[in-house]
Amino acid sequence: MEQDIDLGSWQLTEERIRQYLEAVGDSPELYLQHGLAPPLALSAYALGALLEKLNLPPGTIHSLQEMEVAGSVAIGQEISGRAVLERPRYRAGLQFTTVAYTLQDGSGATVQTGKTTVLTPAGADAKASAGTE
Amino acid sequence: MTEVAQTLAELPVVAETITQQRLDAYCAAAGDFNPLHWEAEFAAGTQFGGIIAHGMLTLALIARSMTAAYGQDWLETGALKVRFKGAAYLGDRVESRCRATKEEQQPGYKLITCAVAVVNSDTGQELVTGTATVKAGRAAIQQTA
Repeated sequence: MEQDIDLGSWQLTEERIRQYLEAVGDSPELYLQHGLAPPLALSAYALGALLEKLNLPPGTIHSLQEMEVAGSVAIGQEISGRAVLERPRYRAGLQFTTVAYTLQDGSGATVQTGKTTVLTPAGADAKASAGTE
Repeated sequence: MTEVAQTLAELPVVAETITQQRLDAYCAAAGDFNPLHWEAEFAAGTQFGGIIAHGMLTLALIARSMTAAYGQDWLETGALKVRFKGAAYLGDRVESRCRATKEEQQPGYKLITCAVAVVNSDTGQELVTGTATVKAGRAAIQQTA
């Protein structure tokens, strides 16, 4: 059974964007010149929110990532996210948890879609459920 | 009719050394505090045997290479699909390996497909592999529309 998850929202302040860019070793000039947020920063915020909402066990590892930009995102915008948790799959002692997410700007326009798959040992205390919020 | 061209253009290589300082910074920036990335004792007891970098941090090398090659087009029209195949450990030097493999002329823009990867600079081991696409010229059209 699929579950809907509210990922919350993020204010994309210049400070926040700079913090992300510094963390990944990137320089901010191009982004600030165009006033645009790096798409992968949004994916990273979505994944961070997912990990928190799903309450996955320590040691969970990232297996697959998809990301598609649907519209430009200006620095300063507020972005909100929702996700759909697919039913976990099990193989070779591992639990595969896949989540499809959609990010929207303040006007409700979709700015990015993506999909994340994470792996946890099947015996671990995985609580991949939106009910753990 | 769609025109398809085969190209072998190499994209800029982006390289980084994995340090605990960088992982800590990424934990704070992305809100990903998995102890696999900062707690040595915990990480030592996992299948990895030590602290490893966030997958999204290594993936950022590909995004940086795409940004360097395609600029605003990447920021406004980019897409990617990747698999994380290996781990980057503290002290590892990692680098992007991206190249444009196909160009398709579409009305108003070129759809460029790239084979993308992150590898361990010393061993050549592939850590991330996949594809990325960008609609080159589309961003300028959106700006003037």
